[in-house]
Amino acid sequence: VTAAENSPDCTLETLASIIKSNNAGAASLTFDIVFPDSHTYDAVRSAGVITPALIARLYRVRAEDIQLFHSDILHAIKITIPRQSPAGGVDERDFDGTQQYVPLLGVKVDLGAPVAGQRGEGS
Amino acid sequence: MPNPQPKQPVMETRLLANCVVGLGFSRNGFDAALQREPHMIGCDAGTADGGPGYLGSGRDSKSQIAVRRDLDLMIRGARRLAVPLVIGSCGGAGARPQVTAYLETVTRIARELAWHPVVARIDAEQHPAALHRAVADGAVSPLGHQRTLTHDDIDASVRIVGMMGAGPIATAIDAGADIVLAGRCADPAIYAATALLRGHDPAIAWHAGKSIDKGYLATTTPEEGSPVLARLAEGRFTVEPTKLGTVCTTTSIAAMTMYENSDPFQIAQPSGVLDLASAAYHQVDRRTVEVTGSRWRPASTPSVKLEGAKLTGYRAILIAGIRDHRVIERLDTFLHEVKTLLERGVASLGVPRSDWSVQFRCYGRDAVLGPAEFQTDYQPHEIGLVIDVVARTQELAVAVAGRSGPIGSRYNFTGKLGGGGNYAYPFSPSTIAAGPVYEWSAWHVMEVADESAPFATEVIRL
Repeated sequence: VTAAENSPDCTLETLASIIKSNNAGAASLTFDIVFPDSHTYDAVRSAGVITPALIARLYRVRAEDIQLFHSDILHAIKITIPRQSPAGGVDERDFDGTQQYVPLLGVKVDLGAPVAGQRGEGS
Repeated sequence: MPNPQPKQPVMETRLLANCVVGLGFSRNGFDAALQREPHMIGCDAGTADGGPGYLGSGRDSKSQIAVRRDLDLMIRGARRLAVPLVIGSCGGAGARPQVTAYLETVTRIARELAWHPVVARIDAEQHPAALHRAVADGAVSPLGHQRTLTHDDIDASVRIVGMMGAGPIATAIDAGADIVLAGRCADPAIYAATALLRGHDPAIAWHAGKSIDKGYLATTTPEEGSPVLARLAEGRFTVEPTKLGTVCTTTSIAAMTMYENSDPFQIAQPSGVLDLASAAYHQVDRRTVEVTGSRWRPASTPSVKLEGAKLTGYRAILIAGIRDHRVIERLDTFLHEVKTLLERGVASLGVPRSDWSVQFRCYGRDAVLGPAEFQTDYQPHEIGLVIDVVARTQELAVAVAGRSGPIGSRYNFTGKLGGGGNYAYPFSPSTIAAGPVYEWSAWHVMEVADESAPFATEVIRL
């Protein structure tokens, strides 16, 4: 029995085994969300919650600037967004970008819902 | 560039990798690795993640004592096996003074060993004249969301380094170098160079390099510090850690292609693109992973990534705790008024406003996430205020930050201060001079006819 089957309505924090952020070069920030097994990974993908629209809202970037990748081998979703300002500027808050994943932790994933493209955006 | 085509039926090639020079590695794991007789030993020393400060200042990002320990063990190992040691992005940014500092450390170690190795130092710093020509020829384009590189950007830069691929390293090894000290370098190139020289398919050479170039991060227990060994064969390679008790899993190896990359399936290198869309990972035994299905698309024109740093000013900071809930309740108003008072105070010193800037970093509220902060519906009980001043000179930065302390602390915002203060200072002196501030001036890619041409190699017998 996986976490996904146990809780009909849970957050990425409870579903993922790894959630992290890093710089991908000076101009981009990249997020890796890795799930413990293909069942959980498939369930989260089917829930259709992790979309450019969600990321755009959480990070205040334009949806069309967001890259979203699915790695079936890793049971992982990878998201790359432009940085607000290039890494290491005078106003830098997080040189390595390592704490920027936090807004993703609380994203709600409704696993009970039927597959429906881009419904629900979490909170 | 040596011939990249397979010369003969491919032999097994063993590549040994440590994580980062100065971050340490398991000595037992390293000794065990040497028994597997690797054909080269490699270690990355750099990253751009620490920001442009190390490129701008030319200082090493790691302590000398830690760098020396790691280099000492690796030099002894390479000497014992008579195989090349390749260090990439020496000193953190791969700037000229950082490579020179590594050469001095290596020279001291070699002298202690009474050894006279052939050392190749590969310079990654780009001559401004060559960059101006490349910009004029339209050969430089932005990476990511940067703007176009201008002639002014080049002139404003303290230095600009190019990121070398496998070409210059392979040439140095082919010329008989025992130790290669490379300036800024694509991490997998440290390993791909030897693999290409030994006739391996670039797909295998680069993917193996990419899988081991973070050393122990490819294992499930990075804290054990195990070196990792890649064994390359025709159409496939394996990766295993060498410290007893450590393991690599399909997940830990596949994850290396995600690390710090924007796209996990298409990974650009100076001489082509590593295509991992069809890569497959197979657990051979408890600790070893086999990889197949890697592909390589050679670039029609090789390219060199450029990283440049420019001096923006000098920083001084002041750290103050705020605990009064009446101030925290209206923190933005408080800080706005303090800023106005500070501007008036600094103007009275005869300093133009354009000579300095100030930021109020409110730890406890939104200093980490900024506009992405989502927890905005409650009031923190305490704020760690970092007053961050950047000015034209260090003296001016200290003067402005110093002024900001009493101005904010004595400001009778609540009307009930009675000559007391708003700021709790943890340090004395409360104002800290934080030195020069650098920003990226170049983060671009330059097309070149020959991937090795921008990198001058000097071969020295110690």
